[in-house]
Amino acid sequence: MIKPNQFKFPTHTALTIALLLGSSPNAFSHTRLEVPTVAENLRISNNVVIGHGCGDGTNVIAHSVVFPDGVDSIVKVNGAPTTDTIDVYVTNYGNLYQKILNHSVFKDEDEKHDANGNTVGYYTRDGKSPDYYATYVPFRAGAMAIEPASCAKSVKVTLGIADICKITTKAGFAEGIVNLWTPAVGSEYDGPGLHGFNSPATLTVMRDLVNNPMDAAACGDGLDVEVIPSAAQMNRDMPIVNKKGTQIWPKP
Amino acid sequence: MKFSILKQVAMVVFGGLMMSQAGSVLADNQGGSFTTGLAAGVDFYQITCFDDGNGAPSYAEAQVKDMTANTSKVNILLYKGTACTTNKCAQSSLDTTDSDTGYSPLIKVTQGAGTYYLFVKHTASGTDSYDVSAHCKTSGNVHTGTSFISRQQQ
Amino acid sequence: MLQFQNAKIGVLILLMILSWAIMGIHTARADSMSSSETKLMFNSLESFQVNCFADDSDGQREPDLAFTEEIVKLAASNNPEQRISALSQLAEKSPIDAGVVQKVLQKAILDKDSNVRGQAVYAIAQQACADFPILLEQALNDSELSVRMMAVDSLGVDEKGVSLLEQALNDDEEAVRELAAMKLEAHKSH
Repeated sequence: MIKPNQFKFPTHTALTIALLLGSSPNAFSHTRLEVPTVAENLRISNNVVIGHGCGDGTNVIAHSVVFPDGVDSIVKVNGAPTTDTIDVYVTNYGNLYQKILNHSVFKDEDEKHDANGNTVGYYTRDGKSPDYYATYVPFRAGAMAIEPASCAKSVKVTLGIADICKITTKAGFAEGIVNLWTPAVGSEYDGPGLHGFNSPATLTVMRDLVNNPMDAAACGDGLDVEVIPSAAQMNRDMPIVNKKGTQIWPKP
Repeated sequence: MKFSILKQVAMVVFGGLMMSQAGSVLADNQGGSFTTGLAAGVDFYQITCFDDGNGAPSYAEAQVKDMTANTSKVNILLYKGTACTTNKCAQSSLDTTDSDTGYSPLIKVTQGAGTYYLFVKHTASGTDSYDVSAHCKTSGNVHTGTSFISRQQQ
Repeated sequence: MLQFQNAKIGVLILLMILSWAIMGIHTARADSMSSSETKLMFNSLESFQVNCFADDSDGQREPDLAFTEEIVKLAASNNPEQRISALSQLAEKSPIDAGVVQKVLQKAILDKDSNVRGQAVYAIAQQACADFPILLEQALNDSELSVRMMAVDSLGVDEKGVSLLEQALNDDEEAVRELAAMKLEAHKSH
């Protein structure tokens, strides 16, 4: 039987070639959400799908996720940054995401919280997601309510995700060490030059136009809103800090 | 020491740590405290009521337990909306006895689905801890989707 | 000199011991660095001996064993909220053996959680245990806000109490000054 890593050929190179040839080897070549679009006012179970390791048979040994906290997040409307805060478009933005406990791949995990106790992310560690596997990391996405008085027809939430194959300092971030699926917002986790650069996972919440209609005259086609973690939040919340308060990743 | 014994010890320790983190705060309960101690301290939460499959929310109800015995007593104000004719928009409740395990009287604001605002205050200076219990229910009094956001902690 | 049957395992074990030693040194250095950056914390109540045995004249109720067991269990919990719950219930006369109350309170003033210690201060004052005025005076000098708040909250408005309240008007924390001022104001207006 041929073993998956018998041929010493970097996984991400193989994927790139496959994509260039017009084939899509699997739906989760990048780390993405299993359910990327959901209706408003609906709470769902979802998964972050780790599509692969860091190449050359390296395993993902830890995983860090940040959700925009809505406090100093970047808000865009139809692609353009706005000075509006997210509560102009979402009635209940905040503490919408909760980790679902699962030790099937990673033995240790915990949520990350802001100063008010709201969940702003989570981490998993102490495990192995093989390079050639897709691993599901479950979380629950709460019911987001789009502000009725707004013209938002959709709200796209951008996540910051790191799939870590080796624990290094930030200076050690490189191909084969970590996959950064993070928005390029000027944080220390942007990962310029790495193959996942500015290719974050997103969750789009669609307005329920039947039960929460827009004012057709004022809104026209409506607005596509995005909420993205700020650089400050990424720098603060991406690290993995264990329950004893020790930073595990990146190495300080 | 054999590996199997180590594993058992690790499980007991880990289980103990998990239990110690659970505390007395349950689902749809929100614990907090007035860490500044100031009399004017206000903690502020948003509660979202939505249909989680159990039916459309009709109202939110809440009560608070003052978990610290001292002069200061904890109270809550729950509010939503401005159409305050048939159904009240705002209700408040005070836990007058803080050296017991009981909650304050239950209050109810009937303003349907959406976001309710909950303010937690105390009657005097003190580093009170509290536990707020809040639920969204249908018109048939069935528990439905309830989620908290903490907006301000004083 | 340790000898290992398998040289490779021996090398691995030695490497593990070395890495743990290095981690221990790093942690100790990190701890010492971080402790010098934080404020000095101390428990002002460490040396206090609680004495809450009731005298015969207070008509103590017959102890309720089930309630006593519940309080003892809560007081021994790993969860500080549960320990506070136990102490808050001791802040008034309860159907518990005085000896048990004393043990619980003595342990509580040494608790690592300052909110628990603070609640213990209040409970001791409410139980009117012996020497509680001395306890309150010590607690007013504690490093933790929650302990000093409970001390101020527990002070009476006799001559000594007023003197201590006036002392508390100079506390570093606004909340302590606020509570002391409120109590003095209430006393003056009566």
